[in-house]
Amino acid sequence: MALLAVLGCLLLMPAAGSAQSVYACTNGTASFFSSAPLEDIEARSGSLNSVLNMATGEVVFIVPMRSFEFDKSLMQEHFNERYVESHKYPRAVYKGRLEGHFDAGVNGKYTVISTGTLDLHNVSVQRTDTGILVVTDSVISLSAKFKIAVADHHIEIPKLVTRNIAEVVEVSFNAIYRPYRKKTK
Amino acid sequence: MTLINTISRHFRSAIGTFARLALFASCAWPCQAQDEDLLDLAMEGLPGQKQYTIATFKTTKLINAHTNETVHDRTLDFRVGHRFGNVGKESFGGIHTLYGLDASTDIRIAFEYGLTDRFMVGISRSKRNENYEGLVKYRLLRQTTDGSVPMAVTLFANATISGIRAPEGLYPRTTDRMTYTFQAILARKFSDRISILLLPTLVHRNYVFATVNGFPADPEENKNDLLALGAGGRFKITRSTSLIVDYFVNFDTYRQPGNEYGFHPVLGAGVEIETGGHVFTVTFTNAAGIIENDFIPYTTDDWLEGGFKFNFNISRNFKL
Repeated sequence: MALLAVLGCLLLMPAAGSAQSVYACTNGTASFFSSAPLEDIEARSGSLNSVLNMATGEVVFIVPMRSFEFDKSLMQEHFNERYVESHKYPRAVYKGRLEGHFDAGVNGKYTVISTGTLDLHNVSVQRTDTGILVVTDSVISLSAKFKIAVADHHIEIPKLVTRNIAEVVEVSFNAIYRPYRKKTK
Repeated sequence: MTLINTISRHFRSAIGTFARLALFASCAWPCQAQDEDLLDLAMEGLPGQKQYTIATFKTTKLINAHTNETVHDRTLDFRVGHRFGNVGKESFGGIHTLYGLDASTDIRIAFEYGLTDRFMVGISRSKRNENYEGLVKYRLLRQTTDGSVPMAVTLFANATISGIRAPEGLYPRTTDRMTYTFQAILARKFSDRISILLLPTLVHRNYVFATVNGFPADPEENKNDLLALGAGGRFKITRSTSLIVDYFVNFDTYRQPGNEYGFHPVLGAGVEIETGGHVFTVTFTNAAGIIENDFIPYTTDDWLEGGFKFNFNISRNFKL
């Protein structure tokens, strides 16, 4: 029995560490848009990191909060200092699993549903979103658009600026993946 | 019979437990391990921890002291500083001036503009001495979050020209109306709440009078250059409210506290409130003038004799 368990472990291990089905993206884009009566605010980041396992559908996204760029640098400062508190919580992290039919070996456009948790401002929220996965030879792209209610992540908007900042912001991202290769340092 | 039944039941239950354990081991463990692996892989691609510290101070000035901050890139900061008269009765305040509200000592209106995120220029006009000011401020060093640069160093310089109508012969040449300030601003954000400033300062006056605060002065000792050292700090109480304080001592012979010339170190203390694009400061200080060229040479009011003034400042940022 013990032998079987060891054998099982040995068999499972390469599957877990398999790099063949793992794809990575280090310069994806993430942006959000807040539309309020007095003001529209938009911010963009070019530092979205993501890793996608096409065999299991597991996907991880990380965005450094400080990488979001605003038109007004004072706004950027407020965003980091007062709202997302990036000195305490420097990253937003999403961990999820893609469901639906997709195949890394077959070129095409697939609609996928991702279920997972978004950890933003140290508050994890379970969510389900729809995205578009495109396979073109060995390049895979994944993009999605969804809404985040800032209150869900305990980000407080002072009453005085409720007409400047929306309670629900629209987030979109786009990641282009290539087969993952271990970094040589 | 019952014994056999019991044994068999236990046996089956043991098999069930084992099977569940095996299932857990073969599925749950690898899944979780893989999840962590993906997160690790994603973390690999992230840039290093080195980032510039932001918001060491809320705005470019604390009370009397400049901070290490400059106006952001292509942003105009419109500032109005208003300093009322002395609060205390001993220093001509009291009820008859409504504790100084009737007797403003200085009003400064300034336009300051960020040419880049590190370099700003500005112009201002102050009521006292009708000083017109041109200023430049440059962030030489910026503190980093990883500690490789432990503090910020900002350089500040200004030139002023006084527009006051002077009696014949008081200012023989136009350049006699000019003064300059050169300042190195050392700042460190110690934590989210606490930021500290240190400001070695030189004020140069092109022309000095024969008297100092009304007392005859030795021309040899009455220097054009005045050296001073400032210190200041912020303590954040809430997300948008901070307690602020700053202090300047003068190294000039005539300006030592306690001597007969009647000068005093400059102390300011108060509250800073931020709301969106506005920053308000509501403070008290014994300095009559708002700009360095004025409060470093000419502060003659004493906190202990009611010689402090209510002071507020409004700063509004416009993206241009």
